Parts: sequence; structure tokens; C-alpha cells
Amino acid sequence: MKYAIALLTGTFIILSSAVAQEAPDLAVVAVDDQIDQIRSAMPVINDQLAQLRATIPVHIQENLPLGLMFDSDVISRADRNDRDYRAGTRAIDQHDYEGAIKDLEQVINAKSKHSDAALYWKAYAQMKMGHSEGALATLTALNRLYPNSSWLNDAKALNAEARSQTGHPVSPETAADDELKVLALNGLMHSNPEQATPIIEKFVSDPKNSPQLRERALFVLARSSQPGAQKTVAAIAQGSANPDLQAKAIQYLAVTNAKESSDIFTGIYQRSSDPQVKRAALNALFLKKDANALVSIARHESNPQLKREAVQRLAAMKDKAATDYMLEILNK
Amino acid sequence: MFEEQDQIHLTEGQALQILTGNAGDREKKHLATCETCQAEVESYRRTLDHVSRWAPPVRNACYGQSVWRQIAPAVRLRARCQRRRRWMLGAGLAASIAVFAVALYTSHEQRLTVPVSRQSVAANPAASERLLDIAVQDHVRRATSLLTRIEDQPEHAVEGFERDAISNLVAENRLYRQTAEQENDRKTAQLLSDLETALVVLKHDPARLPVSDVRELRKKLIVVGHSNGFGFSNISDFSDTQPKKIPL
Repeated sequence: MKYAIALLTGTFIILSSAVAQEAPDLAVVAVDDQIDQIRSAMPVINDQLAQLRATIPVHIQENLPLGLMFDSDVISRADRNDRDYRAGTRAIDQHDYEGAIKDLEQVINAKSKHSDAALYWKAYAQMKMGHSEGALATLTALNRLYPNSSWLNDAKALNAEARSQTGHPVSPETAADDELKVLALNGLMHSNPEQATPIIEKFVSDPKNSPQLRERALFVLARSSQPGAQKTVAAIAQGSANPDLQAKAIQYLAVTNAKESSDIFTGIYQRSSDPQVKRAALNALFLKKDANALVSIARHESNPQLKREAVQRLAAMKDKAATDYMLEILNK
Repeated sequence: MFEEQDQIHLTEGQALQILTGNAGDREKKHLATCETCQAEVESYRRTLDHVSRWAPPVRNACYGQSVWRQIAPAVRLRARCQRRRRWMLGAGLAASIAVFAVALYTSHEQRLTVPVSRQSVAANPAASERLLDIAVQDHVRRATSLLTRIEDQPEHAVEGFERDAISNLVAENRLYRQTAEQENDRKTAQLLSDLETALVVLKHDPARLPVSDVRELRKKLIVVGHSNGFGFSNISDFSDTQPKKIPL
């Protein structure tokens, strides 16, 4: 039984090595996965191997297949890669980008399980050091060497950022996906709001886009002081298609548009039946310092939770109408 | 956690969930009856309140004079050197005029060919700042809540819905960091940059992020976020984006 475990494990390694010759990319990952599994069983397997070896004559031991010689060499390689990768990412955490690149290059050269991740973090470190051209080259290598890597999506975002640093930003029209499109539009909003605003307005208003994407796009739109942009934000704040988006729009409108009358928020509060939207309207009235509107809501609200929330906001306001209403409640 | 053993106290993460308003009913029920945990939560609350009271140190009235005293010798030395090299002034001035003329021409050309407008951000920078603050505040609160939950999981187990939430947080983080960089808000950009590295690791391999790192980052978010107004403070606590059952 003991021999069987050791031999099976060895066979796995031999088979994986054979696969590696045919499809190196996939095989590296497969072998490393097996190494991880084997490593956890190493203490037992090593004992068994030692017992096995003791029973085999020396001249036969010398001719043992590679698979039975794996115990120290292969495992230490995996350990080293793991250690270097951890050291590299830790150096990034500590903003030691030069040190990070040194560690990560060891992992990249070893073509181990973490090599694709190491390429991503190397590009990230290069970006942080201002070496955008180098980062772009590293990301190209990641794309070429690991076309199925799970890091490619994040690499695309990094690539867009590096291109922006080199003065050749990705245009919204050519962005690879919607997430990158929103980032590209945010860049464009900074440099050319007239051009960006209509595109982002369409993006926010399109119900086919996911709610998360629309929320992000709404943030970009709310930053624009173009008249059309503020109208769109106000329309979403008063619409009722998506309560999450509506609540965000109310929040952004209250923060960005100082001239906007607070009547719009009172109207939203009265029309909506969604507690989240009502709460957003209460916050907006608080930000607008409209104590009279909040007192009116508190007086007429039949939902005790919402009434309490209106009173909470009034309690934080320095306003005669708010104070009078508080005294009225206390004297009841 | 409290189904079988109500005598087990709240973890640090759960205590912070209480403070952020994200705790579940069981945690709240336990807190209501456990004096030890009440004291623990109260101590966290006091710490956070204390941190939030710290204001940047005020320069004293002699600050300008003391800086001048320190740099004056170097400035005087440079002035002496400049007197010695006055003969170079004529040539330098001519070169400067030439460079200035080229720069002026180039910038004029750029204005003609690239009609760059910064109206959106520059027209109302205060509003733009407030907008970023409010968005980052909500983002940091949700990230903190996520880290707290993950920290409490064995091996940082991440469930399916959390994986989606992390991906969404990463994308959101990039957008806000980019905006903070555009607005030269370095403090916020740095905070988001640190958060982004952790979120990207979590997205790909949660088990690889050491427990200590999750804890450190979460504490940093709470302390830095709290002092910047990004965390949970009195008024922001009743933001319209109250956490739902799954607040991400």
C-alpha cells in the first residue's frame, strides 16, 4: 500500500512532465497544482520513500525513474517560487517597487503557476515607478505567454492606464469592454467634457447596461457641469426604473448642484414608495439644510421608521424650525 | 456562531460590524445581553471617536521665520555664487528668451489644434471634490465590510456573490482612484491604490492574502477613512446607501 502511494504520486509527475512537453502553458499549471497537493502529503510520502529505498539495492536505485526522485528538488522549486511571489507582492504593499520587480522576475523566469500573476504585478510596479512603456511591454508578454490567464481582464485595465500615461489614452469607442469604456470616458470627461457628456448620458440611460456599470457611469456624468449632464442626473433622480440608481442620482444631485431647489427632493420623497429612495431624499434635504421640508415630512409620515429618520436628521441641524419641532415632540 | 454557544464573545470583526451597522441579528442579540462585549464595542467606539478628533497640527506664528533661518545660509551662499557668475547672465537671458519663445509658440499651436476644455472639473471644483468624497466614503465602507466578513472566514473563503462583489469593488476603485489622481487628491489616491492591490489579490486568490494583511488593511481603512470622513461617522451613517443584506 505504501509503495502504491509513492508510485502513484511518481506516475503523476511523470505523466505531467510528458504533458508539459506537448502543451507547456497548461502543463505548468497542472504540475504546480499537483505539487501543491503532494506538498501537503510530503511528510508521510517522504517516510515511505525512505523505507522503500532502504529495501532497493543501490545499483537499482541509481536507475530509478525521475518520478521517484522528485521529493526534494521539485518541491523546493515550488516553494521558492511561492516565496518569491509572496515577497514581490509584499514589496508592492510596502511601495518598494524596485524590490518587487526583482522578486517577481524570479517567478516569471521560472514559468511557474504564479508567472502570469507575477507579470501583472511587475507591470503594476513599473507603472507606479512611471515606466509606462516597460509596463506595456510586460503586459504584452502576459498576453502572449498566458492567453488563458485569469489576470488578462485586470491587465486590460492596467494597459489602458499605461497608455494614458504615455499620452495615448484608449478612446471610449475602441475600449475592449464596458468597464474600460467607463474609465476611458472618465478620462475624456476630464479633458473634453463636451465630447464625453453625450456619450456617457446614453450609457447611463441604457437599461441594457448592468446596474453597477450604470452607477459608475452616473458618477462620471455627475462630475460634468454641462447643463445636459445635470438634467440627465435630475431625470434619473426623479425616475423610478431602478431604485439603486435613483438613490445614487439623488445623492449626487444634492452634493453637486447647489442651486437646485430642495422642492425636487420633497417631490421625490412624496412620489416614491421605496424606503431606500425616500431615505436618499431625506439625506438630500438634510444636505440642503431644508429644516422646514424635513419637519413637514416628519409631521405627516406614517411609517415610524422613516419618521424616526427624519427626526434624526432634524436633531443634527442648527435651525429654529428644527429646534421648535424637537421641543414640540418633547412637550407632547 | 451563537446558535449553540451563546457564551462565545463577539470577534473583533463582529464588534466592528456592530459599529458599522452591518451586524446580524444574532450579533446584536448577543451584544444586548453580554456586558463584556458591550465594553469591548464601547472601547472601539471610543478609539474611533478619539482618532477622529485629531486635527492636523497648527503651525505656530514663528513657523515662517524658522524656515527662513534654516535656509538663509544656503540662499546667501547661492547669491554669492550668482554674483561671481553675473557675466553669464547675458548669455543665459538670451537662451531663456529663445526657450520661452519656443514654449509660447508650442502652447499657442496646441491651443489652436487641441481644444482642451477643463470646464467640467474646474468650473465647480468644490462640487467635484464633494462628489468624490461621498462616492469614496460609500466605497470604503463597503470594502471595510467585505474585509471584515472575509477576515472572519476560515482560509478567507469567498463565496460566489462575494466574488462578484469584489470584482465590482475593484472596477469601482479604479474609477475613483483615477478621479482622485485627476483632481490631484494624493491622499485619497494613495488610500485607494493600497486598497486596490488588496482587492485584486482577493479577487484572484483570497487564501493568498495573509490574515494579518486583511486585518491591517481593514484597520487602516477604518482609521484613515474615519479621519478623512470616509468611514462611518455620525452624519454619513445615515447615508442613502444603507447596507442591505448583502451590502456589496
